Amino acid sequence: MKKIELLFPELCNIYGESYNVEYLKRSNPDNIEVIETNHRDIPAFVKEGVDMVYLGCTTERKQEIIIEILKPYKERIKELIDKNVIFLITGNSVEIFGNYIKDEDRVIEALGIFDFYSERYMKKDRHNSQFIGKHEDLTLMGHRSQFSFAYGEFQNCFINIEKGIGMNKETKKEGIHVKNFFATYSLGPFLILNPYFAKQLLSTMGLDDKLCFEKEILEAYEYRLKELRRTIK
Amino acid sequence: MSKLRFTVALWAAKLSVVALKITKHNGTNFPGVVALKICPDFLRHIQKPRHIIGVTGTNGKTTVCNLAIDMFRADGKIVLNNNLGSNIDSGISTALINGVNIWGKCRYDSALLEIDERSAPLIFPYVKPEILLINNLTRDSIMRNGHPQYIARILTEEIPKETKLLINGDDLIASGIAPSNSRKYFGIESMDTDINECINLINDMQICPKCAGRLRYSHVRYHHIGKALCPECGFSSPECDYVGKNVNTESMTMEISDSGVSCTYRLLNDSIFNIYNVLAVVSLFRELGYRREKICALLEKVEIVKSRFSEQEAGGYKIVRQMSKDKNALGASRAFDYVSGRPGTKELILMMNCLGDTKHWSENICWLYDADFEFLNKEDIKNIIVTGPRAKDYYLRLKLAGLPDEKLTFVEKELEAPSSLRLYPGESIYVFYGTDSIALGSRVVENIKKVITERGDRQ
Repeated sequence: MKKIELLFPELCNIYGESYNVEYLKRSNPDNIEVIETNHRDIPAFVKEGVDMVYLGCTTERKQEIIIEILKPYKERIKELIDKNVIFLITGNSVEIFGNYIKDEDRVIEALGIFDFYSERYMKKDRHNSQFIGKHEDLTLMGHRSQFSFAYGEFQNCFINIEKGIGMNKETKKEGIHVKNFFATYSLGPFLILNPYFAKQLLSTMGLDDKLCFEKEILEAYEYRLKELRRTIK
Repeated sequence: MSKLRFTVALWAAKLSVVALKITKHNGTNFPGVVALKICPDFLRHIQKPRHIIGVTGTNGKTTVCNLAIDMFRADGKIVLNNNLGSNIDSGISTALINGVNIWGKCRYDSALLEIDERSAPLIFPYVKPEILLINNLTRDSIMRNGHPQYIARILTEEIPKETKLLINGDDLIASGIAPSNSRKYFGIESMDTDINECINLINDMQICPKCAGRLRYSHVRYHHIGKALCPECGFSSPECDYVGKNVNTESMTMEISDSGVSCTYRLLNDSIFNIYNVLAVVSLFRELGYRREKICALLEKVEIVKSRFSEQEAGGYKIVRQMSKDKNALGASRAFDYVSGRPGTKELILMMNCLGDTKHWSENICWLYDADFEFLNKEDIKNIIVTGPRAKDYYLRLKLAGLPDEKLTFVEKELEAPSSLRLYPGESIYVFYGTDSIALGSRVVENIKKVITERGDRQ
C-alpha cells in the first residue's frame, strides 16, 4: 500500500487542487491510501513513512500560516527529498520552499530549502497565462494565475518552457525538480491537465500506471494541447 | 485644465450616445470608454445623484439590481441605473453620462448601481454610495478575481468610510468586509435543506479569520454560506438584523422579520440564490424606509429577468435556459444542485464554454474540479450532451462524477447538440450557457424546438 499525504486541504484547495490526489487514488484505489492532514495536526510525513506528499495552491494569508506550520519540519522535508520521496507542489506553494517572499515592505521568511525568492505584486493586475513545456520527454501544459513571481537561477527546473513564461517573465525555466521533488507555479488539477505525468508518478511509486478513465483523459489532453499550440503566442 | 478636459470628455461621450442611438447600439459602455479615455478621472468630476445605492458581491448583483429597479418603477420612481450596460468603471460612467444634461447637470435624485467588486479601486474613490449591499463573496473566475479573500481585501480598502453596508450575514467572507463601516446584516435562520457539514468541493471559509482555528458550522446552506463558530476563540457569524425564516417553496413565500416584526413575502423563484436575492431586496427597501406591506405589494409586480433563467413549452417538452457563468465553479454548482433537485425526467446540454478564451489559448479548466458535477449524477437525468470547446473536459469530469457512458453524449458543435436529444415524453431540457454564449444559447434553444417539431411530424 502506498501512502499519499494531502497536506492541509482546508487551506490549499483554491482551484481544484485536491483533485490531483483524488485522481491518483481513483487510478489505483486498491494500492493507494490517502492521508489528509489538517493544519492543526502534525503532518504524517513527520511521524511515519509516506510515499508522496502533495501541497496545493493557497491564499497569501494562508501561505504564511503554512510556512509557520512547516518551519519546524524543514530538516525532515530535506531528509525525505534526499530519500526520493515524491513531493508535488503546485501554484504559489512553490514559494514556501524558497528563501523568502517579498510583499511590498514586508519580507516573509520561507523554508529556505531551495535557493530563490519570490515577490508579490498585489496592487498590480493578476498575471494570467498558460504554457507548454518539456519535462524529459513529456509535453506538459500549465495554467498560471498569480500575484507573484519567483527569482533565482533555477538550475534544477521542472519544465523547460517552449511557449509561455517560467518562474518569472524573464525566464523559460519553470518550477523545481530535485530527485522526486516537483514544484510548479501551474495551479489546479495539474495531473488531470497532464495525464502522462500522472502516469510517471504512479510508476515512480512502483504502481501500475494505468489511469482512471485513461481513454477520456488522454483524448481531453490531446485536444487541449492541439488547441493551445494553435492559439498560444 | 481638468475641468476643460472633463467637459470635452462629456460632450464627446454625449455625441457617442447619439451616434449609438442612430446606429441602434444602445446598451454598450462605449460612451463611458470614450469619457475615461479623454478624462481618466471622469468619475470624479461628473455630477452624481444625491442618493446612491450600490450593489456588489459575486453572485446575484444583476438580479438584485433588476428587481430593485423594477420595484422602484412599480412605485413610480425612476432611478438612474446601469442595468443595460456593464458594472465596471466604464459602465458606471456611461450610466452617469446618461443621467446628466449636456451642461453636466444631473437630472436624477437617486441611482442604483451594480458595481463590479473587482473594479472597486476605480469606482469608490469617486462614487460613494450611501448604502452598499453585498450579496455574497464567493469564488469566481480565477483569472480575474483570484480568490474571495483577495476581493474582500480590495473592498475593505476601497469602500468609502461613510458608506453604510448591508451584508449577507450568512457569508463569513462578506461579513468581514470593511469592519469599521456601519452595517446591517441579513440572513436566513434555518431551512429544511440545511446540513451540518459542507458537501461541496468549494469551501473557502474553513478556518477562523481571527485565530486560524477550525470553524464549526451549526448549519451549512451551500459552500461557506451558513452559521459558524470558532471553538478556539469564540468568533462567530454575526447576528442578523433582517432574518428570513419559514421558507416555503410550495407556497413560494418566506417570512422576514426585522425590529421584532415579521411579514410574509413572495418568493420569485425557488433556487437558494434567488431566495437570498429576495431577502436582500426586502432588506434594502426596509433600510430605505419602505413599509413592509408596501414591499409585499411591490414584489407582486416584479419577476426575475428572463435572460438568466427562462422556461418555455414546446411540443409537450419544457425547455429551460439556465445561465451558469463561465469559469464560475460556485455558480455552476448552485445551478447543478438546483436543476438536479427539480422534479421529472431531464436532459441537459452543457455549453457554458468561455468562447473568448479559445481565441488566444485553451480555457483554464481548473474550475471544473471545483464545481460539483456530482449533483448531476441523478436517476432522472437521463442524458447529458457535452458540447463546444470544452466538451471532452466535461465528458471526463462527468465520468469522474460517476456518470456512465450511456448517459453522456459528445457533440462537437453546439448548434448540432439538439439532434442528440432523446426526447423522453414530458421531459425538461436544460441548456446551461455562460455569459459568453448567451446568443449561441438562444440559437441552440431554437434548434431544440426544430428538433421537437421534426420528430413530432415524423410520428
